[in-house]
Parts: sequence; structure tokens; C-alpha cells
Amino acid sequence: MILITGGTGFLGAHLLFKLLSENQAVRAIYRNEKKLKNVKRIFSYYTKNADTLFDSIEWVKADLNDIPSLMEAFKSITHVYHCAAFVSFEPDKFNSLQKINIEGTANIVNLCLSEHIKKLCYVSSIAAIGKPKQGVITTEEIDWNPEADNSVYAITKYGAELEVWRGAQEGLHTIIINPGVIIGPGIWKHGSGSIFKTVHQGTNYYTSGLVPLVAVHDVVNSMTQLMNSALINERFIIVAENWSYEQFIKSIAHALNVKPPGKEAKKWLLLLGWRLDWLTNKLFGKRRKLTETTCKYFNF
Amino acid sequence: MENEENSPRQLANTLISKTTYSSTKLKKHLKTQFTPITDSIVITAAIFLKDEVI
Repeated sequence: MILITGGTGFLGAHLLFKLLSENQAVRAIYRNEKKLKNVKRIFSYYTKNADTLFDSIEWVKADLNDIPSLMEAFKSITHVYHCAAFVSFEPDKFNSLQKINIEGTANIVNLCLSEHIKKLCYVSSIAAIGKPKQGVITTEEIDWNPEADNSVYAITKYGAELEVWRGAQEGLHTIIINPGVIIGPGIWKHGSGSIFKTVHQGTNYYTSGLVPLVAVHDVVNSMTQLMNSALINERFIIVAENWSYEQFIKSIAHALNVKPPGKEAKKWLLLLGWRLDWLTNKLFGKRRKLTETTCKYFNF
Repeated sequence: MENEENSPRQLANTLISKTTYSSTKLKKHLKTQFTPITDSIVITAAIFLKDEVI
């Protein structure tokens, strides 16, 4: 039986659909009942039998940091896809990011070792790949640079990768994937889906820079192929095309039949933006949307 | 366990890069053919309009 963490998320739900379509026996971890409906809705895009398919999943309520509940989820499991993660770029969330992404992954790796799991697929991110000099194509071989302006999210995804590599050293067969921005339907409040929502609501600005993009079906197909292959202890960047952010936002606007943004957000505007965002956070406790570190990723 | 915190701007800003990424290693091993991003955007946009607008 296959275990999936983060099954109610965007990628996890698409992976569930893929595995169930191949008649695989699947157990999925969930934490919040309300999010189970996401899975059914995503299934409904691709089949008329969404309910039947959903009912064939063995759901287990568990938390990455609650080892007894994870032990229950690992019973009779042979393969694990670890998709669950906490995504935030707010420096204030660093402790939570560490707890969920690094410690949570360490727990998954430890259970994979103790339960003699045949293979683990860990969903990392391109954020965890090192940053080469400008103009150099990024591959899996680029070393992580701890001195670089890494976001708190990137630091914890890299830390989680180290836990997976530690598992590999201890005998676990692993695959790490590093996808770019994953495009696909289903979750409109978070992730790339929220970009569609924002563009539909209307936005005046785009920014400079490149966005590495890949379709969700290509990611899950790659994951299952890698898990079914003889490849072990390797990591793979999954990026189909590198687009400019301008092209990306304008293409979405065109597909949604709304007016595309016409102005590029300049350096001064972004620098002003993150400071105002910080102030709003401190004064009113509003969630931060733009940080100094994220601004530095632009082509200044 | 899910992504709760990323606003569109955060996601886009942080994953915006100064460099390009290559999947040459993956393609070498899997001989995979990726879906054109234009197609993915069109399909996703159509479902978004059905879900959120209509």
C-alpha cells in the first residue's frame, strides 16, 4: 500500500487521482476534515466517478509532528510520497517552518527506516536548489549556498532535503523532486491557483524576473515514474519552461479574458512595498505578503 | 500540512528567479514530454472560470 502525506493539497490530490486511476491501494494523511472536499472537487475535473474514487482512499488523521498518529498511518505501507509542507515566506514563521518541514520530514524518514519502506519520494522545491551566477542554467548539481539571501521557506526545504539524504545514508531508497511553480486547477486560495484569482480580480503590475513553470500532471507523472524506476537517491528538477513573469501574468490574463497588467513594478515600488507591508504587519497584525528577502530575488 | 500562508505575490515573488532551470537530468532518465505551459494555463483558466465565476 502507498502512503501520501499532504493528500488534501493541490499536488497531493492530483497524485491521489493518478495513483487511484492506476488501481493502486492508497492511504492518505489528512489533518483538517474541511480540506477533504478539495480532493473530491479536483477528482471531479477528471472523472464522473469522483465520489467512488474518493471513497476508495483510506484516510488517516495524522500530523507530521505527532509520531503515534504517523505510526498508525505507516502500518502495512510499502511506498511513501511525502507531499505535505508548510509554505510561508514570512521570517516570523521560521519556527513553524522548521517544525513542519524539517522535523516533520525527519519523522517521516525515521518511520520509513523503522518500517522498512521500499522507497520514499520527497517533494522539495526549486527553492532548495543553490543559486548560480546570473545567466548560468540551474541544475541539480548547483551547491546550496548558506551565505545567499535564502528565504525562510528555502532554508527549511533544504533542511528537509538533508533529512532525506540522511535517510539515504542509513539505507532508505529515496527520490527528491524539485518542481518549479506548478500549474493546474483546484486550489484557488493558495499556490499558483491564487495567481489566477489575483489576475482575474485585476492587477496593474507585473515584475521582472523569470518563473520556472510545470504542469501538475507532468509533476505527478514524473513522481510515479521515478518511484517505479530503479533510480534511487537522486534529485530531479521538474521544470517544463522558464517564462518571464510578464509573459506568465499576461498569458493568464489573456486566458481569463481580462485586461492584462500594463506596468512593471520598479525597484523603488517594491522596496516601498515591503516596508509598508512590514509596518502593516506590526501595527495591525496583518499577514505579510512581501518581505525584503523576496524582493531581492528580482533583477535589481 | 497544507500551504496556508502563501499569497499570490509571495509565491510568485519568491519563486521568481534570475536564472533558468533545466530538467535535462529528468528527461534523460524518463524520456518525458512536458505539456506546453500555454496549454496548462488555458485549461486551468477555463476550470477557474467554471469554479469561481460561473
